[in-house]
Amino acid sequence: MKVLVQRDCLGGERIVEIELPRPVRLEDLDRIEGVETRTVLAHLPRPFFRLDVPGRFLLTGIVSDPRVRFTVRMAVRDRALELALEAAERLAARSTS
Amino acid sequence: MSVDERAIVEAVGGLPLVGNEEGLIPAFGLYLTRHYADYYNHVSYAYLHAAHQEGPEAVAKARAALIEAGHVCAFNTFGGIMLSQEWEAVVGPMLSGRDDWVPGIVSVINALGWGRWRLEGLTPGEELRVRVDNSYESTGYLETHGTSKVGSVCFLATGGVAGIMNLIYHGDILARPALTPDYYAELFAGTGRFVAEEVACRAAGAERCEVVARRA
Amino acid sequence: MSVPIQFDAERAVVLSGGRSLVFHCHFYNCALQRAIEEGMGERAPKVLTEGAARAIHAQLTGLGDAIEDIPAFAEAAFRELGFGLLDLSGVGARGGAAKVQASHYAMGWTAVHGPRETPACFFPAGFIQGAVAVAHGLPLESVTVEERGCYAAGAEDCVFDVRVSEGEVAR
Repeated sequence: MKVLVQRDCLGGERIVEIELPRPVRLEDLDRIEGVETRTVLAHLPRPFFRLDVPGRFLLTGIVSDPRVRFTVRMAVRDRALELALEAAERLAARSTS
Repeated sequence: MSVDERAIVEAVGGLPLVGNEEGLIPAFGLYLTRHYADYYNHVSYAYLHAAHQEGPEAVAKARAALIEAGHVCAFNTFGGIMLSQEWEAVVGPMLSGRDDWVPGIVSVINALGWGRWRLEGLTPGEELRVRVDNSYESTGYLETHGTSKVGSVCFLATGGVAGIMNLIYHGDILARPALTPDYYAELFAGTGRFVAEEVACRAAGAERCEVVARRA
Repeated sequence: MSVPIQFDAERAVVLSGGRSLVFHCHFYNCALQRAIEEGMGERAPKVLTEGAARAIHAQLTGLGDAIEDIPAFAEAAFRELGFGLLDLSGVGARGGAAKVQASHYAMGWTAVHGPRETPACFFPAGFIQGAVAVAHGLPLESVTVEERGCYAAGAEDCVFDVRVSEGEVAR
């Protein structure tokens, strides 16, 4: 996985952009835990997704694109990279079924 | 595929742009507020009217400062939107070339609650003419102050229209530049930049608001 | 969402309590505030605070009986609209102290312009003024709010003193 940590425009390095080893599939999103709000614009030629996990991060991306973006919460900004990598590994995990 | 404004407005409107448990709205790589037009209008026009009490020099300074705030908005908000994943997914597939970015960003603007922006004319690289119906600025001015005796009052719209041309034709937002202070200066202060003028304002008695951006 | 919102797609406007809501980011919010502060000097704090107080006052008045618990609504609206986390639990009809965490204005100002010597949260101060006035049936001008600690000026959170004029307290 390729990781790019960016400075957030409100201060603090808590935007983490990751390039996964493969494109995101819709079913990968089910492996993200703690999602309170899930928005998928599935009708688009390139479906956009937005998963909000309170207390942790906002995850956004495009289905069939390997790049995902984590906007980590201010309260846990010191763990931005750790939280993003943990979630990214879940996303990129191979399904066992 | 041409730009489908209705689809863009619907998609942007479908995003849950509400403060999270930290009271912040992250979207398009920015932090948004769903703010009060009354607030913006009150403070802007208090400044403008105070300047009119002081004389022409103060008026020129106030108008320039308010438009400059619009430039800052355009650079960061429009620029941020055009660099965002949301843009890539929603608008990207509709874009055939550089010129389509103009109706693309105008469509997104129409989901922000600012009033209805309509593209009246685009001469690529030279001129952009935008009509704004129900601009929150002119609506608010008329409601509070009646017909303007201080000229046009849509400063945010004026700065915004200049910003669209500076991002797309003076700079190159398609190349995904970093939106730094130096890049802002290059786009809004350098040679070849676009500046805009509100050539008709509803608050000043015109039928509708119209803003034109041309090279300085 | 607690804040009632109507989107008129044809006119491209959003209304709440009959008042227009518009999306803007912290870059514009801070740029406009800076323009007002630099252009109006000593008059700026009153203008900025008053603008906010009138805006929330108008919205709450427009929503009328639809809102049962105004302080709770004000806290929810502050958060949902992206301004940060507002705590009005320390404020009553005689005034008190309010707190804002993660102030959009304070954090935005610090990120864009760096720290400042004086408080930055004029909008939140006015928001508090308007909400307290409506919540307790007070004239807007009888409530004054002053920020005595601001994140942008080095404090951990933003703290506001809320005062109600003696004539109103005596009622």
